[in-house]
Amino acid sequence: MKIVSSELQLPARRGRTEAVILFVVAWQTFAIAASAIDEIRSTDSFSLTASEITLKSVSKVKHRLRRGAKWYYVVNACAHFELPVSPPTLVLVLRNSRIAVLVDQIDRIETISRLMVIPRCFSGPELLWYRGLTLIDGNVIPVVNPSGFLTENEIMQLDVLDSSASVPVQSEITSRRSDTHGVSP
Amino acid sequence: MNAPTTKLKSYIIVPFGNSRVSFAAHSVIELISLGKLQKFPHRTSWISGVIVRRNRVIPVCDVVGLLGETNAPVCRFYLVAEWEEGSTRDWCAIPVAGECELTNAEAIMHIDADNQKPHIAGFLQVGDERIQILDLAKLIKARRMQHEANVAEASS
Repeated sequence: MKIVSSELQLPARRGRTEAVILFVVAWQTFAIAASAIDEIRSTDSFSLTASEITLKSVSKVKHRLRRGAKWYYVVNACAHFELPVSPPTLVLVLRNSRIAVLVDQIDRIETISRLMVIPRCFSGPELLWYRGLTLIDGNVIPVVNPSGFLTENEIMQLDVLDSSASVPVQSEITSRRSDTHGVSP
Repeated sequence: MNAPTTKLKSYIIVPFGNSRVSFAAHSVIELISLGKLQKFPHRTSWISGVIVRRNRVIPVCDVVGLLGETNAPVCRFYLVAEWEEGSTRDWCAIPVAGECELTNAEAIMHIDADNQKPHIAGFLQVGDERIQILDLAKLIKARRMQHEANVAEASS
């Protein structure tokens, strides 16, 4: 046994604070940098500007959302994180990207001062999903990587789908909330 | 068959199911009682969650997944151990029953280099019992490689 050196306890980053938005997907709390969010919409409000899109290899995307001149691919966070199905009520439109994310609810905004790197034991896609981990009230909260929801390759695959194949979804998202795209428990 | 070489060092002997394994004492940080296991989505199959200790997030290894032990012991403590990869050190917590033993012993190194698993650094002879000395870093790397291979196979 040995005394723990102070060197080992250093956080990955020090002296910086960052505003994060805590959101909930299937009873699991995540954080995302507030600066990474361009807009938070209700699923009710975006249904008129969304259309269906189906690509077997990117099954976590079922809709795309028109916002100005751009199309955003809507990722279901339940499916992305392989969580049990839960009804999304909000869409996080990400900044400087073409990705929007369906989530259950927003918890609150917090300021964090530590972003710890993911322990090196982890070796799965979580290394891409998360920028790191943070501690809030003693709870470990993963801080998501905004660009981890879709890879460049997945965006490219979605881009090549003929836009004519998409059909207006009307109010389908709000009317089919029980039919979300997560993995059943 | 290589000629055995011996070194006198300190080891922590830990029961795992029906057998016992050991770790170099210098790699063991502490033995702590079971705390709150926290979980978040991930796909590293042999990690069952994380604990927070000394303001660090420490992954908890699933003994069955890590050591391939089928008779997982009833665990009452976490053995927090350090492992190194390159110039980086990290910690992991291994659930143990608690009957850990500190011993100074001669390690028998490289009994059979050809057949010895890479994560077994050698053996301790305690009475009639031959106890594996685990190299945690090599064990974790081996599991990581195996996990990545399984994922690649599943996706192909």
